[in-house]
Amino acid sequence: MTGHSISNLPVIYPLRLAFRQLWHDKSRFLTAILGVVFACVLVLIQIGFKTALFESATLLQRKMTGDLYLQHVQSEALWRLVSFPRSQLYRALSVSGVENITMLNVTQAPWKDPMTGINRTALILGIDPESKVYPLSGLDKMRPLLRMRDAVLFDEYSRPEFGPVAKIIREKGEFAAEIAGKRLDVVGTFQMGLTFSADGNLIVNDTTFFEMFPIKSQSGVDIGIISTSKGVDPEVVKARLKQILPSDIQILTKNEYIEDEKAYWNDITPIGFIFNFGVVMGLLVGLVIVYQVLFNDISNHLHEYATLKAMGYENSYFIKVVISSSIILAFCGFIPGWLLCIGLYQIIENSIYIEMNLNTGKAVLTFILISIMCLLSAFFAVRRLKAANPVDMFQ
Amino acid sequence: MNQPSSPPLIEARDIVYKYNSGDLAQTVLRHASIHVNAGEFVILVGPSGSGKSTLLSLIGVLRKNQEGILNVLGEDLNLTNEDKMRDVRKKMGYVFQQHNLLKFLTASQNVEMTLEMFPEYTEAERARITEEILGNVGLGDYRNSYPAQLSVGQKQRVAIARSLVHRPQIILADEPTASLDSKSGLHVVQILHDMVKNMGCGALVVTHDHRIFDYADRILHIEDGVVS
Repeated sequence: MTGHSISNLPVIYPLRLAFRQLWHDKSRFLTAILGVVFACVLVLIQIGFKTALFESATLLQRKMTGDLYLQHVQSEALWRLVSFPRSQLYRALSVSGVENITMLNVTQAPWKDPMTGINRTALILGIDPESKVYPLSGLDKMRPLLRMRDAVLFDEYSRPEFGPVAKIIREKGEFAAEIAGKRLDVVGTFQMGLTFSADGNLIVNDTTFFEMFPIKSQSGVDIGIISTSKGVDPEVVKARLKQILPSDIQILTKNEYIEDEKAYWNDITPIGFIFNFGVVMGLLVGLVIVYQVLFNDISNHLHEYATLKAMGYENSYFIKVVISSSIILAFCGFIPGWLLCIGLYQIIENSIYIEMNLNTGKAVLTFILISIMCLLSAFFAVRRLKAANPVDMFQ
Repeated sequence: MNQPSSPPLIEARDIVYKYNSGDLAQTVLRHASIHVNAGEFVILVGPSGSGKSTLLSLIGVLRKNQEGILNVLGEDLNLTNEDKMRDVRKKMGYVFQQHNLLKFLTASQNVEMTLEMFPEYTEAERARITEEILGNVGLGDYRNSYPAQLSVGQKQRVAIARSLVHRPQIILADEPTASLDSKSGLHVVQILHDMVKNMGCGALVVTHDHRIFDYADRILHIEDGVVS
């Protein structure tokens, strides 16, 4: 009956012992689970907010047509654009592989609610109505409306504080609005979605745009959009464009453009740090709670563990028990935390009108973080096992 | 039941053990010698600080010997490594002053913890042997009870069942009756004595309890680290 190492015993033994230990003291088990649930919810909410920020911040980029994008190197983000000469965009037409070009001017302006007089920030997109291809897909049928001077297209997904604009348009055909202090007519709607930088989105033609914002130079453009010929690699066209365009114009593929915007929000603004900090704080709180529970479980059973060590159990067996406890807590805390977040995400979405999307990727990432948190707690707690010394049992 | 023809289960000769070293060295065992044969129930008595706990922990393979000859179950413990020491410990049964049962396990689950160290037992065998030994110590009806639901004497009997369930060749008991009333104490010693006589193992029991001296085949005294 010897020669067998305890370390070769089935994993189920320490796992079962860990579960029985946790289950025996249900109030402490519940406390530990609540700690993990708290951490899980905090992590999922912070990750949700962060990804929602990125998703909404890059919404326009993702919805844009085109394969390559030109912008001034000093342009940091969609709401901090610096114009570059329109002539540079036209030069792109001479490059082999360029099929079409179009331009987009972007700024923010206050929308004044005609009923309450309250201002809301709107993202104003100025586009050339005569372009062969529009910057946003689905706008072609709006070409006649876009040609109209002082006419505005309204994003149906703008915040409800803008009022029932879409409904009025459908019923009456137009809606009088005051944007940036100028009286304009909303003549149609489009569908884009909310970004973090504004409460709603509007489209005007470039003539109206420059009349609304005379500070913007008519010879400039904020974003140049290039469609490449079918079958041509945009990277190849990008390399050709680099040879003819000045160095103060950035040429980005669609992915690079999206990542560029994300990098601004994550690295330049404190928002990325704040959300990451929230994740870390949630994990730290969870780590401390789980550590306390595991540490107390060991401390309360030192004599019993020492007795079992005297009988032949190895320290590694009890390390497995503690690790098993941490894994059980990770599972038991993650599942209710995740279920709770399904409801919380819905509540948040209904409040901020930005899609949170609790997808598998977020759930897996959170579970990994929670598991690491619990395993770290176990790692710190197992040091207490050294105090379970069988020699002390003979007093 | 002495079997002098067989080698003793425990053979300790001229054991010297010191705590600390240099000027701070404190010698607790001075050429202590002891042996226990199979089927023997040996009681070791001595005042506090006489070195009996240190001797018991050395024989129990819980600490490394420093000087002298120490053979337990045919193993020269001066030459064995940690893995071998653990193997020797698995052939021993330990009964401590406190029961040290895991409070979150039932009586039978606590006893089965010993058998789980031995993969050769199937789950069904473990359950059968556990039930049998709990019956032997008079706790057959309490196998599903948690320690909190048992009296002190019952807990100590579960602890004894846990120590003996794997049929150890040596039983080491340290004040097994210290926390028990006289009736429970005698019951516990009776169980230990019966196991020794029935299984043919050896027992070394440290005690101050005069009431149990009648059970001993031999009574050894230890004082100032010397066994007489």
